[in-house]
Amino acid sequence: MKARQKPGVVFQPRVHQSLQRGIAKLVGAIRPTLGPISCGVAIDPLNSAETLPEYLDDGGVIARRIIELSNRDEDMGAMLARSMIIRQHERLGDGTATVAVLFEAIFNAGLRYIAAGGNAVMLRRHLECALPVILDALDRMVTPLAGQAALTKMALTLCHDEEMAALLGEIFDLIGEYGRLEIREDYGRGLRREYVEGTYYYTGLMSRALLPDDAVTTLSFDQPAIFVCDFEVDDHRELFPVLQAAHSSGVRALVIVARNLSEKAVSLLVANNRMDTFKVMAVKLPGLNPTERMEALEDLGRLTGATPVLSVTGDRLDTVTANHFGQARRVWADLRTFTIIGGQGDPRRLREHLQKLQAAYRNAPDVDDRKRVQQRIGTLLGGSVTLWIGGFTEPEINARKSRAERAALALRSAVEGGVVPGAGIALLNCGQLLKQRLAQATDADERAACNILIEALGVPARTILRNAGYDPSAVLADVQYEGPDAAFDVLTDRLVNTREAGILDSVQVLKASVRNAISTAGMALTIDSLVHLSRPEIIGKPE
Amino acid sequence: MTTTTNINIQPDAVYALARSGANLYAARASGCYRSQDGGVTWRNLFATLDTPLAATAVVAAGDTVLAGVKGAVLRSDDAGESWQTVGLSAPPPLVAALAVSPNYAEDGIVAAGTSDAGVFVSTDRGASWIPWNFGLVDQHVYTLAFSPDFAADGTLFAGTESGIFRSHNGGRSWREVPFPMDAAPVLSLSISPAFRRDGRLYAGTEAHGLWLSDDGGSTWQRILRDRATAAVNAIQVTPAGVVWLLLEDGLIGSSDAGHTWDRSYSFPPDRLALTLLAGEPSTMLVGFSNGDVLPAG
Repeated sequence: MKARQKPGVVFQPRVHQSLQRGIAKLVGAIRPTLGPISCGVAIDPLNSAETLPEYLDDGGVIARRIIELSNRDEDMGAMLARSMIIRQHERLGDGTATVAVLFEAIFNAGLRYIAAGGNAVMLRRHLECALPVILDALDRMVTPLAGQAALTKMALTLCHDEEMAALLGEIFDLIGEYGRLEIREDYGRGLRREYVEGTYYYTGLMSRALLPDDAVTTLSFDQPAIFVCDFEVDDHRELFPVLQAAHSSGVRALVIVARNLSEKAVSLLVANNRMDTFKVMAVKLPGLNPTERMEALEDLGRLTGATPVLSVTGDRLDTVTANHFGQARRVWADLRTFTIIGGQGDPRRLREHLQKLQAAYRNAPDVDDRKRVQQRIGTLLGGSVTLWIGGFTEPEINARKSRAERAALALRSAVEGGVVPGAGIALLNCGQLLKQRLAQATDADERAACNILIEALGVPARTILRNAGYDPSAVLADVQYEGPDAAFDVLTDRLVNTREAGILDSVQVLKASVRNAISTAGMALTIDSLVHLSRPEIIGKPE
Repeated sequence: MTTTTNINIQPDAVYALARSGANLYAARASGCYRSQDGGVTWRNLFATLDTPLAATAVVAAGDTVLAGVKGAVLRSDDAGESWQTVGLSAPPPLVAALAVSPNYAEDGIVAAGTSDAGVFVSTDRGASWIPWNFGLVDQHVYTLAFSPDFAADGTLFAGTESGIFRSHNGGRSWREVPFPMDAAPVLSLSISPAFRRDGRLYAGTEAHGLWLSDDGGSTWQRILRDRATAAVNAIQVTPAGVVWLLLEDGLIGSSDAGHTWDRSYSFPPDRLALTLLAGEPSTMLVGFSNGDVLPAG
């Protein structure tokens, strides 16, 4: 039986102290993962059947595993940080440890200022006002990331796996920011990639009966007409006008894309294929829900030049003519997928459609929308890549796949937005613009906010060095003497030029890190009391 | 232009001209022709083939000649005496343009633009072809142009029905160039010999004249406004920086990157000029719709 926790309200100074302890516990677990020479974290398995602890080196996954702290006050601090880190992880796949240490540094310094009599609300306002200065400073450092060699170097700093980095560099050189990449587990021991020509969808033939015999698994038509609709055809007679239109217009092959066909309708197509007229295949309309299906209809229409026939708008199959048909150079399908090669839609309309999708991608409100739009763009660009991840054991494959997914996400954002010096140097350099702002500031809260941020922006670089066993102060003094593009490479134990050495960070990742850290820290600093509601006590809380 | 020599070949359109050493090649509707006397007499090199084929594009490097036909690129290693057919992927696309890498002797790269199947690239001197169309959402390709600095920048441009695409990795993937879609189709492209320094790129369109970019294709301005609607079938930029434009009814030249056109030659009105063979004015040749190949200068 679960005991119920008592409701309660907590006031200062306990609020800030508890939040600070909770944040310190969560960030403390993630801090060792920052940098190329980092340590991992072992998670005690909840399932007693598993004897080995789970080993993790990704801040986002570690944060996910920390579900609750036993102290309710501390738990609220930890969950604030957790939510921020997971948001960063989901959206960008990188920068979780950076955002964690940055957030903690701002929060702790802010607490000290408030304890000394500073105003929390004004401090928060000035922290947020300083954000554009930092983002502007990062923008000034941006250079585009292009070319296979540069991409490979960047990938290596993300995944620390030379074989994987070489493949990711090659892949992103081809697909750019929007291209379609799938990362899958493989039975082999190594890594391999597979390039697929054309636009393919994860829906296949309506029925095995459409294949000419059991030995054939794929049906391929050259220069087929393509009919696209959202109908679920129960009565096979509904297809007569479509077949009649194809027959009268002299097409030699027809592809029907529909939501579903009944067995009788499929039998009609099979019977048609036995005659020496024209061949027909039917594939399922892609999409799991009405929205995705409408998007697929629109995309297929643009790609092939077909005019989709929509049951939802009252269209009827008996009005179908050859004018509704699109065309492609080739279409092939098996039971799971179908691929269109060389859609013959109007290229101008297709490019305009892609431009609209790219605008939608940039303005997408959340991760899922963004990902869905990116997949649509990638699909329409006419090619895709699959990176197959192998290994000796299942845990190894899973860990490598997870690393590849994170690296791919971060690499995509780097290709899209450009890169800045890595190893925490870009953030450290942002301090220069803040110092100018500090020199002009007269308000005590504004000066405090600038000082807090100048100090905090150096924390990621210091943490990377400390994790690698170096004295940050001594090393950073040398780095700053060398210039804004210099960094200390902890792997080679020497000062390097970040762009030449490929020690780079995605500017989008860093911007998101700074934005998340300042926003969350500002909010945490203005929390003045905690309210606990009554809720069941969870047994087996991780500490 | 003063018409000096009317070369007597079959009356069918000349789609492309190529030169290698003393050999001249012409891709024509009736086959691929060779002249070894500066264009005075021509021999149909496809006459020995089992079936007659229309050649729609031709390039040559040394004794290697590549001729584009429907569905294939024919390759010869003996200046066109014998041919090997290398098929492109089915269904057979029409080869509209062939282009040879400036470093062909070392890298062996050739690109083929097709009218409905995008770009095929060969890295083994035309022995095999791979369709590399990632990002090339418009696969109606009319013209291709390699960067003069291709070995270093891997840059290749494709002029298409809806605009221009650029590849920075030798044609393996493509990105849109912000060329105005309303001005397309792009029939001809030419890159300045000093492209690395000046980033200059010329695009000739079917009905919207000539366009110039001074930054590698990022921004475009329209030039040649007095011949605004003329189809620009070919462009040549000489090492000295003179820009030659082949319009349907004449050849014009500019010494100041297309701002003023101070050289002009007109053609007889009964034929359309379709293709231009690069060279100095005295050695330039023009191919016409009626099968004539005439010196340009």
